[in-house]
Amino acid sequence: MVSSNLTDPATITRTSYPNKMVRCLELPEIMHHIFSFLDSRTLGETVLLVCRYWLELCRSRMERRVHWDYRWTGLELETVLPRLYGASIAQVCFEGNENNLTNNNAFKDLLLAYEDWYQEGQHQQNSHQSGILTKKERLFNAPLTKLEATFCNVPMSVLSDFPFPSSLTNLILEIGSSQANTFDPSLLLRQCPLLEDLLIARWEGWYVDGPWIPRDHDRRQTFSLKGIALIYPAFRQSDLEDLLQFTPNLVELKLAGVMDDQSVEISKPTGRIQYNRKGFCEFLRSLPIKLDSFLFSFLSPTMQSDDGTQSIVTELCPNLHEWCLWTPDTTPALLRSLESLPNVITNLELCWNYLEDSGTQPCGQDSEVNVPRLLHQYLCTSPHLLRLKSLQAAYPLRGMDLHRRVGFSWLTPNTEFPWTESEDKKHIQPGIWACRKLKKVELVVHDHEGSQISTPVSSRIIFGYLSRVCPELEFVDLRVPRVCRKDPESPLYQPVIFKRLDGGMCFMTRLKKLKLLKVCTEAWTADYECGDVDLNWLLPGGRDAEEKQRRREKMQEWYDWLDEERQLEVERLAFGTGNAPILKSADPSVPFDTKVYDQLKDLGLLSEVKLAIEEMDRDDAPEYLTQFAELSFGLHLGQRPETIMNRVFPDRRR
Amino acid sequence: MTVILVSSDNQDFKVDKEVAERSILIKNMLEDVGESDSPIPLPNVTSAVLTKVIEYCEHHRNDPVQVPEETDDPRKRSNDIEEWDMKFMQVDQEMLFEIILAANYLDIKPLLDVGCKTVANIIKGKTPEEIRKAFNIVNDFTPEEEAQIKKENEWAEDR
Repeated sequence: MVSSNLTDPATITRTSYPNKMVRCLELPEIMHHIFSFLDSRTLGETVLLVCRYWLELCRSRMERRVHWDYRWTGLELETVLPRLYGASIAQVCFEGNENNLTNNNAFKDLLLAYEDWYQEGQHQQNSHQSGILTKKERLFNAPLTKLEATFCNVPMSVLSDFPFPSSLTNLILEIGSSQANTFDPSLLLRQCPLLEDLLIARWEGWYVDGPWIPRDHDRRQTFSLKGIALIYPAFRQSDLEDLLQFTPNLVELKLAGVMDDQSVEISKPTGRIQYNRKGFCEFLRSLPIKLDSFLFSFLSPTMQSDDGTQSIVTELCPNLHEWCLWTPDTTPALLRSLESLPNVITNLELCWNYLEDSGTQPCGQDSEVNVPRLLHQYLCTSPHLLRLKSLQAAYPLRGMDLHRRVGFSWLTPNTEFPWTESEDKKHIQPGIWACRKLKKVELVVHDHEGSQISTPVSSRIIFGYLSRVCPELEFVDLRVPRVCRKDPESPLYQPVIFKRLDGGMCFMTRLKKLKLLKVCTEAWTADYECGDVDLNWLLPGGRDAEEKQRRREKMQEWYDWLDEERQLEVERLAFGTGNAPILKSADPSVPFDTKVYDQLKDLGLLSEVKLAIEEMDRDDAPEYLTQFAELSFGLHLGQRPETIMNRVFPDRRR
Repeated sequence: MTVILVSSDNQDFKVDKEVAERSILIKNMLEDVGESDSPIPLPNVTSAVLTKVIEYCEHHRNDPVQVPEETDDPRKRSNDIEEWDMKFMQVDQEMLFEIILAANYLDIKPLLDVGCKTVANIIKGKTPEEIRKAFNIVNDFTPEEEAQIKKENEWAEDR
C-alpha cells in the first residue's frame, strides 16, 4: 500500500522552479492542459513518477485497462486480483468449456473478491466523510465501470447469477455458442444499480427469462439506464415495457433480430411469445423520453409487417444522428429516405445474422434487394457518415476495385481474362466513397469468387483504398466472412486479408490518426508465410536500420512478380479498362474527387506497396503511426501492439 | 483602427485592433468600453513577452476562429504544430513558460495550445529523472514510494 501522505496535497512540496516556471508548473489548469496532449503510456510510465504534485494531478487522467486472457488462467487469485484494482475498464475474452467450468469459476472468484475490495473502499470513503480515520489508500482506486466480456461455450444461465461488480456503468456481454440460452436480467439490474449502458448479444438467439425489474425493487426508484441493446433476443414485450417506464434517461434502444419462440429454441416451456411492433412504438411515444437511436427489427421476414414503424422513428428520435438498420430492412427507398432526413446521419450500422440463411442473401448479388450494392451506393453518395459498422452484412470488394485489377494475382500474362464486366444492372460499379471524413469503419469485405479475395491483390485494394479515401480514419476493423451464401459448401472460398508485406497493410501508415487496427481472418495459417518482418513496421522498434534492411531484402524477392505485373498492366490497358466507369453521386453537392481518384491510380499494384515501403523507410521520413495504440489479429479485443506481436512471433527480435 | 497596449514595464505597443482581438480578454475589454483611445494596461505581461505575443497574433491575424474538434478520444495530439509556430516556439524555457502564462492570461487559446504542446513534446520520450532535470523539479518521493508506484502501475506493461 502506498503511504497515505503520498496523496495528501498538504505534503506536496513545490520547490526550485525558476520564477515564471514555478507559476506555470503550479497552475493546475495549465498542467492539465499540457497533460492532455500526452498519451496514457507517457503519463503512466514517466509523468506520475516525476514528483508528488504531478502524480496528484495525473492520477485523475489515468484510464487504466486490464485485459483478461489465457495468461491469467491458472494464476493464484492473489496474483491476479491486484491487476484489477483501480482499473476502470476490463476486457474479458476466453473460451470456456461446458464440462469444465474452471475458467468461469476463476473469473467469478475474481469478481467476488473485487466486489469486496470495492465495497471496502466505498465504506472507507463514507467513513472518511464522517471524520473517521481511514486505512491506507491505494495509488489507483478508480472503480471498474466498464466490462466488455466475450464468452464462448459458457452456458448463459451461468451468467445470470454472475457477480457483476456493483460499480459497473457499462456492460457488454457477447455470448458464443452454448447449450443453455436463457438469461435473467433482473439479477443483473439488482447487482448493478449504476448501470447506464447494457448490450447483450448471443448470435444463436437467447431468451429473456423472467421480468426485468427485480421483484423486491422499490418502484419509486428509477434505473440509470441510458442505452439498451439486445441482439437476437426473444422476450415478453410487456416485461420490457414495464422496465422502460422506469428508465427516464434512456436515449438508445436497439432490439435487433428479435426472435419468437419458433425461431429460438427455448430450453423451458413458456407461453407463446408475440410482438406488436406498432403497439410498442406507440407505447414509447407515450413515455417522456426522447431517443437518439432506435431499432426494432425481427429476425424472420415472416414476422415483418409494414406497420409504418420507420415513420414513427423520426418522431421518437428528434435528435436522431444514428441509424441502425436491420439488413433485410435495407431497401433503396429506405436509404433514399435516410438522405432526406432533417438530421445529418453520422453513424450507420447494418445488422445481419451470419448463421441464418433465410430471407435476402447478405452477400448475394442476385437477390432483389442487393444489400452490398445498396451499402456501396450509399457510401458513394452520402458525405456525412463518420462511423460505419457492417460486420454482418458484407461490403463488396468490387466496389473498391476502381481499375479492375482484382484478378491480377491468379493471372499470368496472356491469360484470357474478362477485363470487361457484364452489363447486368445488378453488377456493382466501383466508386469512391463520399464519406471522406469517416473516423471509424468496421467492415466485412466479400467477393463471391473465393479465389479473388484470397490474394494479396485484394488486400492491397482494401488497404490502399481506405488509406486514400478516408484519411481521417482512427479505428479500422476489417474482416472476411466465413462462408459465401451463394455457395456455402465451396472449398475454394477461403477468404484472407493478407498481413504479409505484399498485402499492402503498410498503407495504414498513411492514416495519421490511426489508433486501432483489427484485421481478422479466420485462419492465420491461410496467410501464407507471414513472419515478423512483414509486420514489424507496426512497432517503433521495427523501424530501425536492421529491420529496414530486412524489408529491403524481402522486397528483392518480388522482382519476378513486379515484372509480371507490368505486363498484365499493359494487357489491362489494351482492353480499355483503364477508363472503367466509376459510380458517381447524382447529388451536385458531392463533386467527384479527381484528386483522390488520381492518388488511387496504382490501386492494387505491388509496385505501389514497394514505393510505400521505400517511402516509410527513408531516413528522413516523418514519424508514422504516432497515435497507434491497439492491435488485434482475431475476434479478440485490441491490445497493445507489442503484446500482440510478442504473442504471435515469440521468437522475434526485440 | 489601432489600440495601445501597455506592458508591465510601461512600454506602449500600438497594434491593429483585429490583431489585439486575437486575445479574448482584450476583445471583451474593448467591447465593454466601446470606442475609446485609452491605452489598455496589461500588468501581468512584460514588454519582452508582449513583443512575442504580438508577433504571434500578427502572423495569425487572419486565422479562422478555432472550433472544438469532434473526437471520440479526449486525448489530443501534440505532433501537429505548424512549421512557423514551431520556429516561433524555439525560445529559452523561461520565455516558453512566460508565453504560456501570457496566453492563459490574455485568453489566446491557439497560442496556449501551441505552448502546451511544446512542453508536452519536451516531456515525451524522457525518463522521470530527465524531466526533473529539464524543469528543475525536486524528486520528493521516498525510494519506497517510488517502488510502490512502479509496482501498482505495472499494468502499463500488461495491457
